[in-house]
Amino acid sequence: MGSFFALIALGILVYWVFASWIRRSSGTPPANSPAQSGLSGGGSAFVSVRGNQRGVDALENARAGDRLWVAPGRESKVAGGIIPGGMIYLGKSLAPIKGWQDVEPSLIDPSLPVSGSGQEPYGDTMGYWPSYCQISPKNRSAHLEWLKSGRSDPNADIGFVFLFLYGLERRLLFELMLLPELRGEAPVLISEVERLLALYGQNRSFHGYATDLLSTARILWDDKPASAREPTYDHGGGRVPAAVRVALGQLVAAGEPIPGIWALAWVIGHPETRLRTPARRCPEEFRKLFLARYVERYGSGILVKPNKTRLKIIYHPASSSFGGEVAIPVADLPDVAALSRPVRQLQEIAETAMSELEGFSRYIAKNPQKASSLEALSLLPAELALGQQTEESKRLREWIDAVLNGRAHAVVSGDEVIAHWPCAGDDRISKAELGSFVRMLETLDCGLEPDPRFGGNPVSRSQKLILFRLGADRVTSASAEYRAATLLLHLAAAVSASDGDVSEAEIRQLEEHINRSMHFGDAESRRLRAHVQSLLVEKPSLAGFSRRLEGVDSRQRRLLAEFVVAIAGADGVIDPGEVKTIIKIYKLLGFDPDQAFADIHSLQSEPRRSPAERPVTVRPAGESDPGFAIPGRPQTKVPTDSDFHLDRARVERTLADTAAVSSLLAEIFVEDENVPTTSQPALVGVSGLGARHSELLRLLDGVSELSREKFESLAEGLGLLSDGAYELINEAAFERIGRPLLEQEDPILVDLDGLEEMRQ
Amino acid sequence: MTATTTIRPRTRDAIIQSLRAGVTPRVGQAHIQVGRVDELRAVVDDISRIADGGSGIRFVIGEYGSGKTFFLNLVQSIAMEKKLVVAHADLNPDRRLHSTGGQARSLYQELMRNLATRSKPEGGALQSVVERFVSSAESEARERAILAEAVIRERLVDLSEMLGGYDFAEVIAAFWRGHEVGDDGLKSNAVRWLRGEMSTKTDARKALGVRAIVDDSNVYDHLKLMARFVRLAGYSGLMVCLDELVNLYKLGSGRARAANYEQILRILNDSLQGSAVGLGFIFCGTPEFLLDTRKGLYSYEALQSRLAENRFAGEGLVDMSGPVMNLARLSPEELFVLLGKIRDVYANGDPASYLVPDEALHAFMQHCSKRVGEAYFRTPRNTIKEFVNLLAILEQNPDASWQQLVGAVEVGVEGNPDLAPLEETESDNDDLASFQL
Repeated sequence: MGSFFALIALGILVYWVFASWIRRSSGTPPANSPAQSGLSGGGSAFVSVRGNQRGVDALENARAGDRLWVAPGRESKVAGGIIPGGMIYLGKSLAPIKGWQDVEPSLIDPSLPVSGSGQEPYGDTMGYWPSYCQISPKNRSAHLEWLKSGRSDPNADIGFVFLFLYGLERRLLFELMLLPELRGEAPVLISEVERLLALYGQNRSFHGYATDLLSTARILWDDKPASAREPTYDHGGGRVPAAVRVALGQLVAAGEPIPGIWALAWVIGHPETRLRTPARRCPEEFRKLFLARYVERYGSGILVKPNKTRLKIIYHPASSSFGGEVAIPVADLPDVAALSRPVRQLQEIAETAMSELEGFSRYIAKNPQKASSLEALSLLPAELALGQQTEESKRLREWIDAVLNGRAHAVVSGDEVIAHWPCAGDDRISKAELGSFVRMLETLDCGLEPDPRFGGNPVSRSQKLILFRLGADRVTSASAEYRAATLLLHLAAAVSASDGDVSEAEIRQLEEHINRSMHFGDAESRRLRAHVQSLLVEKPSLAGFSRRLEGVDSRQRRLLAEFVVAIAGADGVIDPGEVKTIIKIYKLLGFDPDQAFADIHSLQSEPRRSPAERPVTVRPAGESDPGFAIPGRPQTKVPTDSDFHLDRARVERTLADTAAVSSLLAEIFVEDENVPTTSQPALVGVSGLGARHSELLRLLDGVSELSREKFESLAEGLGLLSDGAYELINEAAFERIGRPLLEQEDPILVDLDGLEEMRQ
Repeated sequence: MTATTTIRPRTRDAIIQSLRAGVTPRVGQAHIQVGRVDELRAVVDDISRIADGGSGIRFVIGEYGSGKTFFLNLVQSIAMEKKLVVAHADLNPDRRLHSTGGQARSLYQELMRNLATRSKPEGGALQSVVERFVSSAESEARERAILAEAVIRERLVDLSEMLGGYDFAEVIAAFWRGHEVGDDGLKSNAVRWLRGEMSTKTDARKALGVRAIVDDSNVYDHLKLMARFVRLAGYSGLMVCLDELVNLYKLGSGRARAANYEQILRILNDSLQGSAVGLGFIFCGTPEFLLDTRKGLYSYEALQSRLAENRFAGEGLVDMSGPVMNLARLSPEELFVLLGKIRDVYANGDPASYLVPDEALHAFMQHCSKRVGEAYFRTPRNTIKEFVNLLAILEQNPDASWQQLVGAVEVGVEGNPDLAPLEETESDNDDLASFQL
């Protein structure tokens, strides 16, 4: 038996040694590996695939090329003119690297005829694979003209730029590869490609080739780790650029997290990523937002486990000299482009960033000249808007500083807001306008009450509002507890305003009490304080309130009453001050004050010890005590006799049950002008669609195809949600004509025949 | 489904493109469906039951190449036609029914990403569903001259009684507020929450004012909520289709397997007892996933007793009322009919423009049989691919003779990817999208 275990132990040992050996041999390359230094085995693999079809030895060919190469910065005389800057092949004959042509396409042979004086720089068109020796004399002279004038004429035919690029490409990927002594030249050549890319990058084809060359040259000739460079972003190229794959491979092999910029380059280049309009229209904002969200979610970056697929870089040269694609030697690195999970994580972030930018993107599409207006800024996520300083935002900031003047909050009027914010109406600020205003304020570390996101109503010119400082902690949506609290306070304020019997002090006390018992965080309690402040200055009128209350049936009133008691008792205690307010509210609701006592009582139960919230210390650490100690009562606030003690579980249940009441109350508190007063007739228009959807259909008439954005803005113009409208219209179409009316995402196709059928 | 049915050009192109790529079409499956009448009838019954507020569960079991995925896609398009919302996902090592490391949430995310309606059959319809709900609530609010938020809460009051339903309702209300105030950030946060992409409770609390998020422990509860929600939005129910369940079978840890099977048991029980409303599940797997008493569903005693075959079925008698549905492989005759249907699709349903006569189908099958033996109809993916290629050549070269071309067709034997061992770090099985007939 013993020997059996020994055998197993031996087996495990052997396996462990073997496994760790495997791991070591396939693991991270040493620091000075070929990938880092850029070279792999002196490029011998490169030479072997590079046999010239005409039997010219590759090394021989490279030496010949070197002899004809005009070094960077040197002048040369061609056809009676001077070409500054060098970086061309000049001479009688040079074999291509491998291709089917007789002569290296970038070779400038001075013995070939050129025509004219170069008066006409735009010669007749050249083929797809131009070669200096094959283009027309007229084109030759135009090419030389371009070279003489410093290679920067923005109007030059892109063919001439390509012809020059072929030379750089040959030099970088062939001669420098075979003749190590020339490698010092690489940085100059690389920056020349960068220069050309900046000048002629708007040409799609040139952009593609030059970007590729740049990224490949950097992989080969830049000694820094790939991830230390600025990544190449390939928009819409549908592939992850080589340099990005190398950088990602190095990071992953080294077990390092992926920094945001590389994550971005990865996700942008990935073939399955679809960048929607916001990312394309506002690339800079998208980049910033992506990086911010990435850091938020993943800190220093996601960690990717090395995968088994190895990195292979295939380069597609611009020049025909190479005779087809070239394998670029790189170190043994994992090819993370084969992984799908990390990309999905990144796509999620990109998606979030795009949807957050949608509003901004739509706005600047409609108002391109207002890209830096306050309205535009307010549509940006806070962290982006903060960075943008404009004249208007500066003015707004100064106004805020002056108003607050170091205080936590201050009163302003609707008038003042209208002065600082464009509003469509004359004397009213709509919810949407107020919404964008508060988002703008938020970027300036400032909040406003009422805030429509927290249940605030539209604001009139004369209304008083509360401006207050936000802390570092932010919330953008009201929790149910917060809403409940504001409603109770609103009720209390209304009662107070009606007979003045509930004093301001009592309301403040109530607020503090609620604040404590609901466990609000810093952000919510600041806002609640501002809210109370606004209630106190605005003194909500009870007139409208009572009128509206008439429409509430007795069952709902009951619910309201229970709700009031439950909130007041959310911490399990109702003190006599609160009881006073509750009774007032009960009277307002049309109940007997005695009912209030009964309700409080029904929430009341035998004072019990609450269950422990943390492990109960039975015996403190230290010397052992021979006796058995009975645990003491948990130290909680000892309520005074006059307080009412409630069963907390029951209170919470009641609170949950009465969630519906919050909306009922919100309904009651709403200002008159906010509720649509005239009810609209249902089901008018086309095929059972509502009036606005029918109107949308009418707008689509005659349009067989439209961009998603156009559709969205049409829907928005009618106050409709675009995806919902798409769905409802198609649903109606299925019912009526048995097929969808709208198809595809972007652009959206409209079945016009179907539209006609639906009309009938 | 007869030869006279006209086929919409877009559908035709989609079918042909998919077949050429060797994947099952996502649309128009009805045009090339062969046989399986009993199975389809049973599933259609299931769908009607779900649409009536009931529930349903099916285990579609078949070997590699027997057409599970095709069948599943067909069922999905039927379900969408019957106004159900369909959510579909392939299981893989990163997407499971139960986990503690985020894999269950990841499955939920995938399902929500693939949420499809008949108006958006390609998926990505979650926002559409939410907006449809909100739009109709808004219309009602206009009619009744009250606040839209009140209507939304009123409609969602039923959800509040369910686990996580209260927060769900809050999130929908937040979406509405985002729309009303013009706050896209709030809207997108609400959608992210619904998609299960909100990763911490703190984020959820700050962004939406709710305390809970979708996490590994409540994925099934959220599917139940979603089923109720889509009904409130005007659809008839939710059909959840999970493919590649063999990935649960392949899980290395017995405990992880058991936990996942327990989740299936929970779904099965809910569904048989009818306690899920408007929610149907279809699981697709291979026979070993079901039958293996060591690692398959049968290894879980409680499931075995519920899923065991009706002893009287078999030998030509069928019972489609049990949850397990066995898909037989295609017979050569069925393949013949299938090729005919593909020819029909190619000709837009017009017999006058058939590219090849019936003899050609026969010759083609004979040729394939000679090249790869009987595998040609057992795993017909390649056979069909080559047949579509053949039609493509004939369409572009009307002068070519099919007799010559058939002889030149190369068909290879295909391997079963299910037999490949799992590799956790590599890309998931999406890349092995399978077409089986």
